[in-house]
Formats: sequence, C-alpha cells, structure tokens
Amino acid sequence: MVKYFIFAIILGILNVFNKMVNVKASEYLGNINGTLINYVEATIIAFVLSACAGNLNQLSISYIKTVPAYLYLGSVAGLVALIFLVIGTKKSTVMVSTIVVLIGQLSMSLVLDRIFFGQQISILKVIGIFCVIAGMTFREKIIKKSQTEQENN
Amino acid sequence: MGILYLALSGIFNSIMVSFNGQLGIYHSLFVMTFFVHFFAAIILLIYIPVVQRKKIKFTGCPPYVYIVGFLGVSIVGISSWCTQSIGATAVLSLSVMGQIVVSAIFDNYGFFGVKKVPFKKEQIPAYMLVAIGILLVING
Repeated sequence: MVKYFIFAIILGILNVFNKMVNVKASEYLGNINGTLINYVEATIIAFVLSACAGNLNQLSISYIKTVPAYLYLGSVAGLVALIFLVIGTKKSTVMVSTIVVLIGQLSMSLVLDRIFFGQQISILKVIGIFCVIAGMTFREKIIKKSQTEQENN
Repeated sequence: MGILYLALSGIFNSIMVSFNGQLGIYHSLFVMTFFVHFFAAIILLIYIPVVQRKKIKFTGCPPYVYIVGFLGVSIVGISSWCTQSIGATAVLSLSVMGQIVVSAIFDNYGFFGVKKVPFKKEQIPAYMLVAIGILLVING
C-alpha cells in the first residue's frame, strides 16, 4: 500500500513539471498546438511501449468490444476539464481557480470512489477533504501576500 | 459564472482519473495510456485545422519541451495504477501534497523562469493542515 502512496506523491511532483513544460510548449507553439504535441507524443510513446510489452492484441476491435465503451471517454473528460479550466481561470484569479478546481475534484472523486470502488463516504474523509482545501487556501493566501509585498518593495 | 466553470473543470478532471483507473482494469497500463492520449489527439487533430482553421505545428521549441509526451505517459500510467488500488480521492489528495512541496521549491529558487517567491515559515501550518487532511482521507 505504501508504494501507491509514494507514487501518488510522485504523481503530484510530475504534475508540476508537466505544467511548467506545457507552459513553455504553449509559449512556443500556442495553446492548442502545445496541448496537441503532448497528446501526439504520448500516443506514439504508449504505442511503442505496448508493442514492446507484447500487448498489441488489446488494440483489436474484438478485444475493445469487451470493454465498457464509456470508459474510453476519460480522455474526452480531460479535454472538457481543460476547456472549462481555461474559461474559468480567465473569469477568475489563479488562487480561486486552484481552490475551486480542487473542491470539484475531491468531492467528485469521493462520489466516484463510492460508485466504482465501493469505498464508503465517511465523515472523516469529508473532514480530510475540508482540511486539504483549507490548507491550500491558507497557502495560496500567504503566497499572494508575499507577492504583493515583493511588488510593493 | 467563472467559479461554475472551474468547479466543472474539477469534476471532469475527477471523472477522467476514475475512468482511466477503470480502463486500466481491462487493458495493460501501456495500452490504457495509449487510448487515453489517442482519442484526445484525434479530436485535436480534427479541431485545430477544421474548427480553429490554424496550422498544426510541432517545431521550434527548446529540446526539453519534447519530454512532455514522456511526462504525459508517466502521469496517466501512475495515476491509473494508483487509483485502481487506493481510489481517486486518496490519489488526488496525495498528489496535492507532492504538488505544493515541489511548487514551493520552484517558487523559492525561481526554476523554469517562475517569479521567485521565497519560502516563509508562515506556510508551514498550511502544509500541516494538508498533511492532516490527507491522513484523514486515507484512513477515513
């Protein structure tokens, strides 16, 4: 179990690198081409890795038919999330966007964990989510304050 | 209205993480990662020239930008692998911890050209609150 916790933290670290590199990609290629290069490259890499692992049989139509079709919509949900993020951030501040996205993510994941993995929605988990959101809000406020102080000096 | 869009973004992001986690039950990690990126790539490859009427462009970036695909594969793969075992809520909460610690390091040193924001002791209670929250999410 501990290895999953460690990798989930590594995931957060990779997300920060990914965000930074994506920002650079969009600076050079524009927003949409910057996003596209991410998906095209990853598609090719994942295909090569699948071939090396001998898993290409899972790409056949007969195999795909055995998988619930809606599960393939994860990437579409990701794109929709990205579009809403861009629109929402333009109408808001970075701090508000970070916190509100987190609230949406964590509350929905609680529901989906119940549906897909049968995990109970306990009061402790809800309090935990509140603590994570409160901690993030607190952190963002301190950073904002530091930035304002820097600008004033 | 902006807040509604942002909340929807979080909700759809969570749907993505859960669906990808479920997809990993049927496919190997690499094949699942392939599908996740393939469908989005196809949508964008049609959207950019047809709807936006823009040219598709991949060249002209510094070499390190091209690691973005490796990062994408790693992120989706790890996210799905962990979600299958500990659930999306725990994965998202723990990744928040990784994100804020690394962001603090980046901000402190100004890596990747971000504006330097020195780390201050006042931030420590915020990190502790997040850590307590994660413990409750995992053990709750």
